Amino acid sequence: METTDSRRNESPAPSREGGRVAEKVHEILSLLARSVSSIKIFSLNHATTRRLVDALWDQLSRFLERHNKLEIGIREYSFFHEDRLVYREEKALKSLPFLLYKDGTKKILFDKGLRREELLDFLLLLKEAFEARQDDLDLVHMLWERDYPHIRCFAPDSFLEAKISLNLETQTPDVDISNLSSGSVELTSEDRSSLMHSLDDGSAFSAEADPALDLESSMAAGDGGARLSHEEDVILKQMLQLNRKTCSEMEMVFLISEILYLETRPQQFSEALGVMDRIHQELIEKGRFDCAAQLLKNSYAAVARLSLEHPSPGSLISQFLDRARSSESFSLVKASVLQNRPRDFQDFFDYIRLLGPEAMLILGEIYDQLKTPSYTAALTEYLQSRVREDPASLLRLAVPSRPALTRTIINILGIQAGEKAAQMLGSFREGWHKAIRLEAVRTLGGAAGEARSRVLADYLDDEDEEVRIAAAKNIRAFQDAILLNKVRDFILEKRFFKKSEQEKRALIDLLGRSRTTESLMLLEDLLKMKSGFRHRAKKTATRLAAAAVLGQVGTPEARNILERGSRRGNRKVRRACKEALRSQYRR
Amino acid sequence: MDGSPSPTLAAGASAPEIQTHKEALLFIEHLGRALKIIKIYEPNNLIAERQINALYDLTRGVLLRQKEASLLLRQSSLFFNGTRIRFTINSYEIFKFLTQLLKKRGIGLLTFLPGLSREALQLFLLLLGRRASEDASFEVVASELKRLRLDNHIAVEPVSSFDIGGAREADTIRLFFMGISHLKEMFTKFLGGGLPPLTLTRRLMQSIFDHISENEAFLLGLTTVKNFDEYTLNHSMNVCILTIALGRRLGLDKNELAELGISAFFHDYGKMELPKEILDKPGALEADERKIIESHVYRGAEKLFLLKESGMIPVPVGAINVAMEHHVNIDLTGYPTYQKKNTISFFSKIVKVCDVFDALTTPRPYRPHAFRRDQALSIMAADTGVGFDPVILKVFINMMGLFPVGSLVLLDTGEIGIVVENHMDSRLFFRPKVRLVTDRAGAKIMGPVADLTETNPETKRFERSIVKSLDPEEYRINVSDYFLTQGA
Ligand SMILES: [Fe+2]
Ligand SMILES: [Fe+2]
Repeated sequence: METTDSRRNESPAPSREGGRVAEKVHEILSLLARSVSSIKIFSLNHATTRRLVDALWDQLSRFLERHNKLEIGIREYSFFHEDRLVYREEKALKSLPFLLYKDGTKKILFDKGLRREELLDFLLLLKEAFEARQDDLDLVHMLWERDYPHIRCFAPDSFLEAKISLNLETQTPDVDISNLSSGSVELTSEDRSSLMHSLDDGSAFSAEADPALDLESSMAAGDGGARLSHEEDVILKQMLQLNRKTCSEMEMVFLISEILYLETRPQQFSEALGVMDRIHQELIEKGRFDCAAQLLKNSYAAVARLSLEHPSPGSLISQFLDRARSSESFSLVKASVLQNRPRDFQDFFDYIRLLGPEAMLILGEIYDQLKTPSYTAALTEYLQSRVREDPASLLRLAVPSRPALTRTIINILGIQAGEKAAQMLGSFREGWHKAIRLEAVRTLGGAAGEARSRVLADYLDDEDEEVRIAAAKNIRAFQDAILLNKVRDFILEKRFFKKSEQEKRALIDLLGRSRTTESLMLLEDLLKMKSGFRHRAKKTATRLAAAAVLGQVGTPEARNILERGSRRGNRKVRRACKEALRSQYRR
Repeated sequence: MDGSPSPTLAAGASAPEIQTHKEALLFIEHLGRALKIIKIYEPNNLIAERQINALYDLTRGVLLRQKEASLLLRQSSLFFNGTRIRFTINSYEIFKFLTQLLKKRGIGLLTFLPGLSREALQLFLLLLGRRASEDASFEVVASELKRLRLDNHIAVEPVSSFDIGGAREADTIRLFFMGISHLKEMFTKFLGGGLPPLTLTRRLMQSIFDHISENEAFLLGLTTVKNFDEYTLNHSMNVCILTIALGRRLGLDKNELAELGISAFFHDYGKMELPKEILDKPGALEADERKIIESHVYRGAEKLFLLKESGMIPVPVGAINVAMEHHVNIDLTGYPTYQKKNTISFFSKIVKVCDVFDALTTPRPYRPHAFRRDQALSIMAADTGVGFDPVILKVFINMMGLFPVGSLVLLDTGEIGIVVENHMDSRLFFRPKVRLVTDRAGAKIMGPVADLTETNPETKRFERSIVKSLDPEEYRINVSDYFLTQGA
């Protein structure tokens, strides 16, 4: 690095005008440096920055108005204007000259016509360059890409030459110039005859001169045949646009998958697999679950294919999938969603689905921490879409600490027809809060069905009376023998009489609703029951309830039972049977 | 200039930006055409009149809304009222014509101001476009403007010293071999460490682009250098140059071009570890050898992935794509056969065209006789739509011409020449500029450059015409030497 800065400073005796200009330039460059520092420390919109930038803009545009341009020479730590040192900062980390110098800039030029937006963009670029690591950002290249109309830098190729370490002298071929102008060339006979031929008929591509004017006028008309047709032009533009929209992460996913299909060398295969692991991880960290899902899809397909062809690569990819399903990976996924808070969870759910049922746990954990309505709504929708295929997976999310989500899951299961969903709703009997049990029972009662009734019958054993009553009230199908036996057992058991009137009534009602011969027989058994000595009043009440229910059933069979009942036993019961029969006639 | 958008027109440009840009393209198209026509026709000719009117109406419209209509020349870029003009493939010719004309006149900024009359505009077009004033310097133009009292409404400013390229052939040659050296370093060091940063490669691409903007024909000429140091290195550099030149014509942005260049540069990265005996095997390949050769595509992609994922070099994904699929045809035949991926990237399609062209025109141990440059183009043209994307190939062929730069041609004078530049207009592809390398008797000379559009004023016939293209190997003429000596 050259250190001639200070020497240059001493040189020409300054004229007064030159001195004034140099002072002005110094002021501008100081403002430039301070503006960049201020952007670094605060931001572009901070009041301090604004003040500085306004001053810079004011000074610089006035200078350009007057002098048309501002050309700054750059040395290691200094700026020069017309060979005068106008700015110096030797601390490399905060030195603006050094920032430009290190990437090979020799001169920088501001032109009249400079616009404020241009200057602001340039300041931001300088700030970015200050913050970048040495090799990450090349300021000259960035300036080149931006292509500002009024800010330009001059950085000759000698910079490249210094950086490219191989010796160019041995890397350039020798050309013997004398060889190019000595000796002669003899045309082959074939080429000679082509030449003769062309002279004879004035042919080939050749000499029949179009009048020069015609040529030029056709040229002036503009449309060389080289033009693309309208369609071709449209196709080209589409290709350009499409290329700009291409998602590089998705490209990477497909590329690495293809490489793993092709690579057969074990060492390289496992290196490439390592790359895939990292890509997968990066995708999760970035919240790019669409790409991560595609990576899983490709890997499943590869396992399916490769396991037949080359046992080893297939199993290695399986291991990758295992890693994706590991708890470490799960926590990474969770952290990413909590941090990135995606607006649309569709890709994320898609990814979870591909991971398999264990991954459902992640959804619950995120639910616990991210109680946003949008996530809840998206999750509900996702669970609805999953319930038909895999209802069991929903249960993984239902835990007592998530009552609201559990209710949602119960409702989703409730809408689903079939035995499986009904059985799932049976799993809320133990260890769950009463409200949840009640919810499950009511949901089960939402539709008829043998399976549902069987599950509801299980709730007849619930420790809580309210739940038991609800279960009894919600049973809607009774053809099932098991169900009937169960109810019979309840009724015939002694503790039946210890149950409250409401519960008993609910069970008797249940028999009435069923209207099967068996249940009617059971009702008759109740009606005929001897009141006995113990629980006399309770037994009588049960018999009266049976009579009332039979009255509601109203079938000829039920009427026969009531007829029989009205002729025997206890007076209260007889009266109740008659009353029940009468109520039918009145209808 | 108020109300003008940000200086560069980014990919996601807003509606007013697009509007401004459309107007800008229209403006240079009208201006360019008017200047071309005024060269040949009198201003009262019907065609000329119509063209001048069109330009005048457009300019007046712009002046009503924007206070001025300015055209700013900056190295390789043109700005219209502060907005950079991104030329499209169909406006490229006019873009180049205007750029060259402004440079020749030394004009860096041309501004039309309100109050411009049609008459003034016409006088100005005559002043700038007429053949008689072809050698007029900036000073002549400026003083003429003053004399004709046009300077109230038409202002010119000289091109800045920043934008004067100068004779740069020697620099271009150095750049070419720097590129090969740089690639060699990238090839030999790999993961061992000490790799140069990608910012350096990007800078190289930047310089290649700048040199192409300055003198595309000369860069194309340098791609006649073959098999220097190692085939793959020299080949990759050639493909890189051709690719940036092609991408530039296709209308890619600078940052896209830098990435495209890098992709081309590393397209055969997978060949670095293949055994030379197989790469350079003179005869036909055995099946397993072919498999090894074909493996260079995924080996290259894999290595680039490793560089990227190790955090050592932020390789753009585009480059991995290109390494992987530069041998895939657009109908997805070729190699490798994809299992899941069903598209080929735009960059891959571009690089493939340039890759095949350079490969065909390079002598290899298994094919000691390379194809002539024009031959290579016909071979490729026959494969359009199957092997190559038809639009990209068409643009490439139009860039190369009928006798691509570097072709050896026999002239009807008996002289032999090397094509050094093609005209933009495809109807002049038969009449490129040619460096004469033998005289009429066949004696070798370092002759001048002859423009084959030149006519004899008396006979009105062309001075020289091409009879046919010759095979340089047959005549033991090393075409690249004639380009390399330009730097001497
Ligand atoms: Fe290749
Ligand atoms: Fe290649």
